[in-house]
Amino acid sequence: MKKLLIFIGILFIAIGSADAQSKRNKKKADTETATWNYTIECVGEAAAGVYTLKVFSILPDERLAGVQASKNAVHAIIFQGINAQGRKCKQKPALARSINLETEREDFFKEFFASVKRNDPNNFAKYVNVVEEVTDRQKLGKKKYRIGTLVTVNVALLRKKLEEENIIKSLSSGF
Amino acid sequence: MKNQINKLHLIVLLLFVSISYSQAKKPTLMVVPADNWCFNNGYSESYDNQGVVKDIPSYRVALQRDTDLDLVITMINGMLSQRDFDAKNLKSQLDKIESAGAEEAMRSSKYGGAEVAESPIDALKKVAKADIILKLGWTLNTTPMGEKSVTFILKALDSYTGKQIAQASGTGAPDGFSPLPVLLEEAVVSYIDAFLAELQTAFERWFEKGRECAIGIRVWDDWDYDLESEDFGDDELGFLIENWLEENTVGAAYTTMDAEATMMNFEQVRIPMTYEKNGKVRGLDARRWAKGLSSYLKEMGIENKLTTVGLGEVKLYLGSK
Repeated sequence: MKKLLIFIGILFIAIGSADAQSKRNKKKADTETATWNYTIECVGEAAAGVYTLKVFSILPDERLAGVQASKNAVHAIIFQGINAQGRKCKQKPALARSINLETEREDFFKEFFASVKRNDPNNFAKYVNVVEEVTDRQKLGKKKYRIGTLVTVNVALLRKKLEEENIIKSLSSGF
Repeated sequence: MKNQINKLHLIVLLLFVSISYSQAKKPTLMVVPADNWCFNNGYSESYDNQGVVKDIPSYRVALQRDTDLDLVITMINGMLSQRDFDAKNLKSQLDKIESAGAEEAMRSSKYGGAEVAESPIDALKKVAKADIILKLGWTLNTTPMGEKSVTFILKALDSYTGKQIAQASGTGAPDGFSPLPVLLEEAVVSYIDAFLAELQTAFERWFEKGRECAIGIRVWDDWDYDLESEDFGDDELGFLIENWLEENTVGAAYTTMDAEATMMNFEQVRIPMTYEKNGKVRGLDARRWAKGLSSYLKEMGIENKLTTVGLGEVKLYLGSK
């Protein structure tokens, strides 16, 4: 009986510790999200509306690379557009039609970029596929890494979602 | 209670704005091969324009002989369809012209007078009624090493004005293995997003500043008056027409290109995207808009005939039908 109680106690501590670690990671991820510290390189466009991108994120923890690169890729596609990359990739304009969209619809994007589960339909992760979590690694300083991640983003679906939510106007809007 | 009434007013207003904004006429699009692409590939025909013979592109021959053209047009049409724009099929429109005999190049007034020449391309534009023509072309480049690349160009021309409203062009990465259709597919995929973004900017400009068209006023030789006559109001007829334009264009925007006793030409005339009839908001085109001017002149006792050239150019002949 005593052993059982000890076992249950250890189990609770372990679960609590894992949960706390997960919360810490989420907090870290959200802190990194707020800074949007990244650069993007276009690798190609395998199919219409699906971009392949290499995202270089500046992070304190390598374990955040996948999720942060996904957010950064979606952020760049919505607000910044993707620069041309020689002959392999043409300039991709931003989905946002207004330069103030991010602040105008702050509430929507706060929820959209929240670090929740992938199956949440309102979440950015639905539109991103991480092909290779760490392709490049560069230590910039104490707890500061530049991590390269290869992702594909379904821009056609992302655009549709933002149009349905009236975040951006569709091509046929007004007609 | 007053607060509730205000809210109700606001809801009705928003509903009206939403309805009116969604009633604008959706522009129709049609993809055709670019003129120089047709000429370079030998897809042209001769056309006799009132004694002057000139070469014009032959879309039918191009479609019959070039399978890659059909592939690219189908791809672009598919991508437009994904963005809620159904493009008119070039081949179907050409068939329509043949069956309807719409290629007839000459039209004339009921009682004689001006004749308006129309090329087969104009006839196509009129039958297809495409507001925007997408012209595409490409050239295949081969390096000494045998690598191939495609230089691709896609332009959107506003049928109303002939002005270019969007474009995408460039050369793809050299490839030693892929056949031409694959290179073309890659080119379309690479350029289409930027191209459609430019097109959207043009649409937004239409809503903001009005759709651009041109209008010409002509006077029949046998009419007793002209545009300098002061018998129709407190000013010369030409100025009365300009006053009407000022009141019926978006931001009073129009440019008087010519103003003579027997003719006037206006360009960059910005017309609204919608108009209201019987309480309903409908899409407005150049012809419908010019009908307003025609009615205004009729109210002054001036018989007139309204004709259209293409979609965005209208001509009013004063003096008789």
